[in-house]
Amino acid sequence: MLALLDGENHGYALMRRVEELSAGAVRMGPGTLYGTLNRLLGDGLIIETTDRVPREDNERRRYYQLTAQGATVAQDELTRLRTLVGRFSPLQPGLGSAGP
Amino acid sequence: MTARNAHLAVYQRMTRLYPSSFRHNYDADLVALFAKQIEDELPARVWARTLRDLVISVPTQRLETHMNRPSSHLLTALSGVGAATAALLAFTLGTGPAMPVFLVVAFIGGAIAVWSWQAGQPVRADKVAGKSWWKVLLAGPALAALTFVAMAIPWPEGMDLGDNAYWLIVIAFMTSLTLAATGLVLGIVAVVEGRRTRQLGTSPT
Repeated sequence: MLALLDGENHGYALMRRVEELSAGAVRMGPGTLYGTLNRLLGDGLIIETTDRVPREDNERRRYYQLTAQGATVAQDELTRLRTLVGRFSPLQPGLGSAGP
Repeated sequence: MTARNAHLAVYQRMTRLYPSSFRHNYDADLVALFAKQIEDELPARVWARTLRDLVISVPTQRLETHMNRPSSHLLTALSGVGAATAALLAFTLGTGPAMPVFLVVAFIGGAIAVWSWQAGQPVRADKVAGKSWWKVLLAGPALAALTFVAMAIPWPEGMDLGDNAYWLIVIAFMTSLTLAATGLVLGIVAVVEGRRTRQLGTSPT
């Protein structure tokens, strides 16, 4: 979901974005990626925008975008992670920007 | 066939491990994404990651599909109709030799209908099966009493069940005994559990 905060994206680009955001630590396979997207679609946190946006490329790709609820959840998660890092940074030197 | 197409053909076959509903929605996307990876990276690396992905995502998708399966309305309807038909046939045949068989089928069909209907209902914390043990316990003697009353009533000529009545009485008594025994066991378990919970709640911490 954090990978969709920048805007709509398709499966392969999302996979790359997750890899980039996690500095290569998380490399999703096709099954995990589409399984996750399927679950987020079911929960109403993302929508498929393939048919609504005209495409320049000829490839048949499905694009996904956060819904308003999904954006709120992603922002909340971001805030939660920031708070967590902020709280633990003084205890762990070198962790995050709040460290010594 | 090029090496790329060979990789894709193997992966396409492997996607058959996913549940059909998932495959129906994402089969083309899975293969397209795999194809893109094969183009951009070393095939051996892609395969290592994809095999790990299959090991994790196939059971996950199968479990999710199982958990999100449609409710058992069809089973409820079919077994209900079957039970009603069997009961109708049993009473239409009157004193025929097949009557007890139809009655047993009607009973089993009815039980399946009730069970599948209950299984399709959402689980509620205030409606735990263990709290309904007294209903099961009372149902046994109630059925036995009903059978005694039915035996005592002088049935009119046309409704006399003849020898089949014996089997009906046996089935009814066996069922009432089973219900009473089940209710008793559930009751004992519920009482013991309740006592343990109270002890835990009042014990000093």
